[in-house]
Amino acid sequence: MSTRLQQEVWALDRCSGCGVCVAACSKGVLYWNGEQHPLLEERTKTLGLTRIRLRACEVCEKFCELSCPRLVDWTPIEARSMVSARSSGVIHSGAPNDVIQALLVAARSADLIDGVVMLDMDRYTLQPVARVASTVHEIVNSVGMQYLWAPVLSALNEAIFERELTRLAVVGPPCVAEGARRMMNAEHDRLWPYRDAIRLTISTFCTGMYTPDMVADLLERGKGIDRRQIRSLTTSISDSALTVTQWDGAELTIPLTEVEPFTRRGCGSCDDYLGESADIAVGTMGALAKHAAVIARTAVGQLFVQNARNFGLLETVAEVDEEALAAAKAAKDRRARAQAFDEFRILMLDALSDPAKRSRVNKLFAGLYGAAQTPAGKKEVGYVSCGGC
Amino acid sequence: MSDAKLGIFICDCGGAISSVLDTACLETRARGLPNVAFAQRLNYSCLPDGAETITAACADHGLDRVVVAGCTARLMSRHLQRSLPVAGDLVELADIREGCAWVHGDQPAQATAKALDVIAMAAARAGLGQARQPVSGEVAPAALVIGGGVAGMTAALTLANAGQPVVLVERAAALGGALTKAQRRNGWGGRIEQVSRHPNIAVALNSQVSDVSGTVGRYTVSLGDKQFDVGAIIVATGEPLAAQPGAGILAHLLDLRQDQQGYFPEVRYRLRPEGYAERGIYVCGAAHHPTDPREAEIEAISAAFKALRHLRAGQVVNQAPVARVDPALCTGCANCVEPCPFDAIAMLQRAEAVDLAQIDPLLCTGCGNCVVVCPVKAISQPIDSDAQVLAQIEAAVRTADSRSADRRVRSTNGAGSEPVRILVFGCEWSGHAAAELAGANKLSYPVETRLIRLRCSARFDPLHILWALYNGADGVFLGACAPGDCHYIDGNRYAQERIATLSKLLAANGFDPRRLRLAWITPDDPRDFVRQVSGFTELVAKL
Repeated sequence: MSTRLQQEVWALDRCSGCGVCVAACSKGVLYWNGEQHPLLEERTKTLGLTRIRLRACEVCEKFCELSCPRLVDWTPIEARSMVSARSSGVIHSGAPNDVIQALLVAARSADLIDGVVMLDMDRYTLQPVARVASTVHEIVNSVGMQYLWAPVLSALNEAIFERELTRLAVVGPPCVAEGARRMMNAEHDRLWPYRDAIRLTISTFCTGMYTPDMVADLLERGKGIDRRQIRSLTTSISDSALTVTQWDGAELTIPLTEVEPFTRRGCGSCDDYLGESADIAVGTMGALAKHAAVIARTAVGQLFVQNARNFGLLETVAEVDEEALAAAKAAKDRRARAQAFDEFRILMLDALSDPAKRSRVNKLFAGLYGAAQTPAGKKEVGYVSCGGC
Repeated sequence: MSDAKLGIFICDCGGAISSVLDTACLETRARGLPNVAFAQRLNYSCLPDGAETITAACADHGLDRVVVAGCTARLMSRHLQRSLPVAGDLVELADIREGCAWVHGDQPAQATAKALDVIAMAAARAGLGQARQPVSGEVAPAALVIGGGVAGMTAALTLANAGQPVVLVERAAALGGALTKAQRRNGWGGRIEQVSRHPNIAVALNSQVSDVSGTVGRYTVSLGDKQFDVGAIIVATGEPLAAQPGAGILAHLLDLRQDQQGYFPEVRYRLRPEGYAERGIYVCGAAHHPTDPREAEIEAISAAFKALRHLRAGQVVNQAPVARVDPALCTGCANCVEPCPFDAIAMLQRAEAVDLAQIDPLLCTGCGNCVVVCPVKAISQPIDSDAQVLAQIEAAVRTADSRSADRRVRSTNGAGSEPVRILVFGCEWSGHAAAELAGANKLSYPVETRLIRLRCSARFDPLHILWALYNGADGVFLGACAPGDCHYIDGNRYAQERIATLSKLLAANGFDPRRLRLAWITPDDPRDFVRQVSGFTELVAKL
């Protein structure tokens, strides 16, 4: 059993819910049940009247550990270009979702991709879903990400193995980009189908994903908004607010503190606001008015932005408030400290049985509790013990 | 390493200590502790000549922190902190009498070794100590009395006669409350007259308090669209509260506890931590239990005088070690808001990327719950700071050379007849108090224990416990108040949850969770403490 996933991610409420482990699991024993993290399926076999528990999750290469984005430290990919952009095809809009749609439509039209795995909203149930879209029509018809959580990457298998798509774009919050990035960097050959199929990752700026019951509990019951009236939800780091746009054009701003209780628990320890592992990151922060900031972090990202511009679906202005973006990035350092404390706890637990980890514990301890502490070596000398004289 | 200059003074206590412990040895050994500039034996530190000797030594050697090794902190710290020339919080007491000499009299060598650890722990703590800064706020010079019955009128008159401006709010169209016609004829009617004519009393009939905001010392009260500031609020709403629709709202506005019948029961003063700012909210008359007019009158006068003392002081002072937020570290996660038992923390919303936690320094009681909750340790306290507690832990468990996790690994392989080392964290209201009482009663408990005193079990930090185990403690025993007895409302409940989680984590990592135990300790039952600690020590020794 993957103890690392259970102990270091699930138990500490760090699961982002990206869903990549569910897709990667070779035994298919991980599943979702509206939980904060995937569940491990218990399989039994009946022989006569005897029910035998099958050891389904064993003898495995632990693809979940190879894919989980929370088990590695992420170094941000430096931005290659930052622009303010808005879509300029049929829809003129600076909303991040419309800009992403423009990028995707242009890419599909140029056959740079043959499908998209994305976070979308079901038009009938109005619940968030992980969707595979493979035609321009399907892409245009998607509503886009509404900051309501669904395990995006769990749909990878449908895209790659059932629909046999070979050139995928993955769209989601930063954790999804990280999950996809782990697949793209996979060294294990069993993960190569994923590695080869994912061509592009697009991430939105993100302050946290909400559980789907946020719509029912907060917006419907709390604010009296009919869910059928909701056109889009956008969060803004700079205003600390969630903006609900309705189909009649009315806008309602709700402070993030009110929405906070509906945030997925795993988002609390996330330190990536700006999609730092995605090829392209899109969000309102730092952009000109009625534009979205588009950050291309890789050559691939730059190519896709250029492609959308060539198609006339995207207008860009090379003007971005880099200070605002830098400020958001600075917030990352604070969260990194939170993770360091988590790590400190895990390491101390490990070191109780494994003395080899002691040097790392001591190092982390000095870093976290500051220079007020004396170095470990000195302490041993400093304290005296009673010789029983 | 800090540049503190420590002086250590070891009491013989007229032989009460030196008859068991080798204080001469302690004196020599204490000189070898980090940051110690001076160490000396004294007969009695608590007598005037003892204080003079310490004061002189402070001047001669430029000492800025003092450790007095003698009796328990509870007994002498106030006295010593007042009589010595360093700031109160920089005087530490190392309990080598109740904590060593009196409880381990039959094992003098081990008791002396323990005393040295106790001194080292106090020295480590003092070396990192900071003086707390009392926080003060102004008191608005006016009072609000809610309810115009006997209690309300009496309270208002008492305050008004003492010269305080009073606003008396009555829901009904006339004063008098539940007084009967007969009662009004028989003398009580005059009181109504007096109140309505008094120049210091503004009576608001047909009114209800619609909102109360602000904090200790200055509450802003809204009556309809009128707003004014008061320093004290007296609740005298009378009897049939459960039936009154406004009672629940009032309880909510003033943060009063309501019992099942709708009365506002008295705060259990015995359970109130000392030194924190007076709230300035008082309940009297039939609002907190059924009374007749006479009784209501007496209660009202009592409440009014409490309010008067509060108002006349002109300022509220909070002596508690108030927790502070480092804005450079706060991630705005808001984890600390809900666990604060006194609603002292709110999130300050900012235009930049993250919100900041803000602690109202007058409401904070210094229980330390937020310090433990904070995932980045952006919140800190001047007393029992992380640095201090961690240094104490190290001093307690790291002294002997053989103590290390390696040794434990060896001993699990069968070698283990070596003495164990038990760390005891005690809430100062229960676990630690019972330990002190055990000492005073000379009830012996295992000499393997090292005690750390904390303000509340809410301050039992899993990271500290892990650090202790990691550094070689064989067991950690935590003494907390029983459910319902926490002086900080429900610090012990938080402790219980945290320890349960930590035990699970330890078990999952192959570490025997029986080495960690949280026990409910009654402060006045030292025998129970001795039983529990002895049982735990025996168990750990067997593992």
